[in-house]
Amino acid sequence: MPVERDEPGLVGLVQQGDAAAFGELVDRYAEAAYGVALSIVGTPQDAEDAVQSAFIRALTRIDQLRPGSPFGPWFYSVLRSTALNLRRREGLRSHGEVPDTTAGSGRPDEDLERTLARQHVLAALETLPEQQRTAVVLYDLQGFSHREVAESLGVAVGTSRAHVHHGRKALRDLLGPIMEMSEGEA
Amino acid sequence: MRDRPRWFDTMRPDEVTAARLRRAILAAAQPLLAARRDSWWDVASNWATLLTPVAAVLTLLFAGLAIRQGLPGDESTASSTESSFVVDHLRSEVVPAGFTSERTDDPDNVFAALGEADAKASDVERYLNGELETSPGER
Repeated sequence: MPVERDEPGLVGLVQQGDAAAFGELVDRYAEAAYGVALSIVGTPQDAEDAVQSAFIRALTRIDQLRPGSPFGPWFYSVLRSTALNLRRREGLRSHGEVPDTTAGSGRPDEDLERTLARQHVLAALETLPEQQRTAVVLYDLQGFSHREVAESLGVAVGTSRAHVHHGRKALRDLLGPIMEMSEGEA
Repeated sequence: MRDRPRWFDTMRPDEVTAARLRRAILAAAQPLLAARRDSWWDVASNWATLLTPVAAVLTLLFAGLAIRQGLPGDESTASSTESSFVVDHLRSEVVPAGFTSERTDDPDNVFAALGEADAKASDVERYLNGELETSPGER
């Protein structure tokens, strides 16, 4: 198992133009970032665009990151503003109108099930206020602590706790029966 | 690791999407990363920029020290004062009889001076013998 390098060290290497260190940061954050972006922009294609733009924006501004600060919360604040800008620019396309064109696993039945489940989740997330939605996704998908969620959103730790609590409850109410049925069928 | 709702797994990209996303990010980042990598010339010029003022300060410092050592110090001043005192003292001395303060090559002047000295010596002898009432110095 490869030894994980510390994040401030990786950031220092990226500041010197180290492509391998940048690749390591991409590996750590890209997948969860995709989920966060998807929860904001609503479509897989826009989520990919948002994540790519956010990484490039983060790279151009990485000198602004205070020495010793963790990359994650700062990156998610960049991602969030990038995704919100993209969403505004794209004119809030409806999820139902845009086909989910992910390449998938090569098994059509699994892909379809996944796509349907995702659409339910996105529809449920859409009902939450934006900060609450992002807080839940960062907490549950990225595995951030409340302090890191708070730092990413620019709010107090207590506010982050409240967002996650209310967001999770709302999603459980909305998705619980659907997801149980979906898992039971699978 | 904390318990995570299962439905969040649907929010992750599948393997194909994740690989495509990674490739796209790294490809877009390459020119930016390359621009960040300093060439050896950049490193050298950065060092030169830093060291130039240091070198200038050191040069000024050594030049100042060298100039200061070249100037006459307290010891040489004292010796000079001593020399001038001796010279002044010697100048104040009365020139002995038969010598003039001015050098001359004229033999008449020399003989005249010697004659004058002889006359003075003869006067002193006559005074001592009682032939003169006043001493040659009182005249």
